[in-house]
Amino acid sequence: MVKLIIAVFVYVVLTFLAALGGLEIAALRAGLAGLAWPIGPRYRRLGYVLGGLLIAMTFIGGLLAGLLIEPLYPLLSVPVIFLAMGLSLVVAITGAALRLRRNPQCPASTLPQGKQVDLGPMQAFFYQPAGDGPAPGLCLLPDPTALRDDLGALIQALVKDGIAVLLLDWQSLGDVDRLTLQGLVAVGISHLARWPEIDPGRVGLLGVGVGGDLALRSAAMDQGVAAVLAIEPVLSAQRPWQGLEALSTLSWFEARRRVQRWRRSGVVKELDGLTAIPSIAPRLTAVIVGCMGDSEVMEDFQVLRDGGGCFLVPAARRGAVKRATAWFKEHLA
Amino acid sequence: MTDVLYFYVSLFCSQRTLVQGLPEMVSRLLGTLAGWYLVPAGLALVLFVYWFTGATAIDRAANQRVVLRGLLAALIAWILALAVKVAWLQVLSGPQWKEIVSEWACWQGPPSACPAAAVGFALSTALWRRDWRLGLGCSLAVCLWSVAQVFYGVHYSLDVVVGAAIGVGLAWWLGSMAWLDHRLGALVEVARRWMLA
Repeated sequence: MVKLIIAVFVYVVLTFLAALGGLEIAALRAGLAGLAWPIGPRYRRLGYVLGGLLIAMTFIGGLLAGLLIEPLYPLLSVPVIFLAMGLSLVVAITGAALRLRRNPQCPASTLPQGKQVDLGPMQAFFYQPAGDGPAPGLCLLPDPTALRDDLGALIQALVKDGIAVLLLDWQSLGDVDRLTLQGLVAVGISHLARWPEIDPGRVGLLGVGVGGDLALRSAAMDQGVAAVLAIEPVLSAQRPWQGLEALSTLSWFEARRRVQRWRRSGVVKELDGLTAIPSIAPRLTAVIVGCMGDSEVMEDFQVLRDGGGCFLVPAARRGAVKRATAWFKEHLA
Repeated sequence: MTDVLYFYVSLFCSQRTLVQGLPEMVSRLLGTLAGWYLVPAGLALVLFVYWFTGATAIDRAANQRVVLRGLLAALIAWILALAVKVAWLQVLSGPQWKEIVSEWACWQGPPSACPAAAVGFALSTALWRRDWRLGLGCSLAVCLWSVAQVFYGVHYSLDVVVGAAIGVGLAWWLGSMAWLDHRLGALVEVARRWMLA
């Protein structure tokens, strides 16, 4: 009995190491930072070598174990292999999460110093571009379900291209419903249009994630919006689930948390950004989507695709920032 | 019936006696190769890695359906191989058979379908239908495993043939069932909800 327990333990450890090696190679090849452990995508080659070594070691160990200890019974080998592989998956997910916490995939950009503005119960920050004359203005709507999204790079790029930005700060609010959010967006737009250095005929809306849905719905209601762009909006509560692709930039735990927030948020269902789009025409409307864009439901408006990334962290994508800036520069500036 | 059984157990019987005089170390190595760890763990590892492989999400989902199909085929093939064994045990349960087989030099128990070949070829065939190179590699590993089992005296050579026929036939049949894709796709979708697919 003791011999059998030792044999099971040895085979579990060996299979665990092989599975960890295999997972490391597969995760690096697919660019899944949230699954790559112990070495992340930054040292890809080293990860391949380590993964290969773990697999080779396991098979040499397996041969030696076969010579030295009890063999596994057929019915025992299946649970041993499944248990070891499950363990390796759990360890890889947890290890990658800890690694990503220490070294995030997208380093945080510094948010430029903006002018604080009070919009009733909510605060906002105004970022003015350099130069004279009336400038185009944008009301930037962050994702209300992902308040810690890093929008620094996006704001910097827009301001650099001569577009003023009014960032609505949902964090200054408590738990609010869809109508309150829409009301606050309307307040933001009118405030921006009345700002002395802003051209009221060139005020646009830019939303990120669920903020994109809010932008589309608000633009449909407010004729003062000249152009609207949504970066990776949810569009519909029926949107397919994001799978492993989410782990390209996020840890498994963070990705789960974000998706759960989207799914549980009643705002997504109520906004239903997709149905708002026809009401915006003939004003300019565009949506930026990554590789997982749902192309068949996006026919009546401009779809700007960018190469890859994760729809859960849209604003951190360099491609999305470039696309958004270029689009507004072309249509508003 | 006796002639058929004699042919079944004595085919390639002389090959097995060749390895009886091998050094103990080589014999144990053969035993390791014939055992239920090395090749099965290798096959499982291939499936495990294949689950996470794919250039796009659509490719990956197709690979995942293949993995599930392979596992399903392997499970059914294992059950069928056990059923064949039970059937042979029933047929050869009478005392007259004990007298007959006691005189056969190659007799080492009732025949059965080799579960290793059934399970291994079921997995390999499922992979072959999607990626023949990977399927070929796995098939070669399963051949090695099955041959080692024959030489180690775990199975008759025709057991392996029967097991392989069950595995290949079943996996090919399941592979051609288009409706199964939908069911397996639903399982993949559940895994996607958990960000594991």
